Amino acid sequence: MAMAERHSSDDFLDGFLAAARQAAPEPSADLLARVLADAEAQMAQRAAPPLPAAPVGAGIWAGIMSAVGGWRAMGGLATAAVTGVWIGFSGAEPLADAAGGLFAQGASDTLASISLLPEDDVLALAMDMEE
Amino acid sequence: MAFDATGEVSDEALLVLYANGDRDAARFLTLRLVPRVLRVAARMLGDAAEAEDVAQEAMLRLWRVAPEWRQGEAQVSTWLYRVAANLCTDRLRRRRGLALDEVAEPEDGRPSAVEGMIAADRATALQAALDALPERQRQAVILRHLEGLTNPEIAQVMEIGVEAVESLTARGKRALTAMLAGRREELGYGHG
Repeated sequence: MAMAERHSSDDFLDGFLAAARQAAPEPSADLLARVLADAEAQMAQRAAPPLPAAPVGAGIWAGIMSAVGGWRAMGGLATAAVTGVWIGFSGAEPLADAAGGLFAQGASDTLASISLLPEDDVLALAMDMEE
Repeated sequence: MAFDATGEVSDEALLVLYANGDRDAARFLTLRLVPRVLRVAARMLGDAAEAEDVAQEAMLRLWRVAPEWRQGEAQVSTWLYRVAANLCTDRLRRRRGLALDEVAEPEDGRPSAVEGMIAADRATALQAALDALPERQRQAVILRHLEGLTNPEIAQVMEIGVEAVESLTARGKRALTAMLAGRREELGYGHG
């Protein structure tokens, strides 16, 4: 394309481009209002405190937990329950052996100061030892 | 906070203020950016209502990204042009299948002798020609010759090299000239 021809062609197109720039669309008041409403909604969303998390396991368990005093109390209850199960399986003999160890040393004042068994049992054991 | 309406506060500073809860900053950004993004969308899509939707959606994305905006990485306007262009591309893709002759075109036989009408006719004719351009050429021509962005700025918006921008605008202008040449007389250019 010759130089003069290219200039003429550019001028021709420039006329259209200038006309298009003059006829540029302007945002309507409604559009501006919608955009601002979005901006404010996003701002409010960020400013709002986070919603409290929904309680996990709400229902009967939550009620029981609350009644016994929370997880710490439940821990104590669980330990007691496991201990009970262990005693049930292993029988009472180990306990008697432990107590017997104390009695075997023959110190009656030990029995007076340490009471591991109900009093009736202590008497029975003392009688056994005398025999 | 009071801002100078002449626009001394940068878009980025306003965006940071908005992220910190400043309503005036939102208002200034809206007044400053919506006209630009609307113009680009209107020219990309050739449809005023769709362009408004794109402008609103692009601005909504800006409001959302504001708290995480990384300062100094990109210009707000460049980022917004890119988002708007991508939204337009999505809509144009959805439109595919629409025959070219269904795209709005200036009516034939309208009186073009009145001076006031000539400019409007030229603007309408240009839009029809833009609509017929390949999408990337259209985008480059709009940003360069209607929005006045520099080639490096356009390169950032379109995520291509400056040379590719030059090539796209040059090809776009040639195609526009060829399409409009047939309407010289009708649009007040006479012979020559």
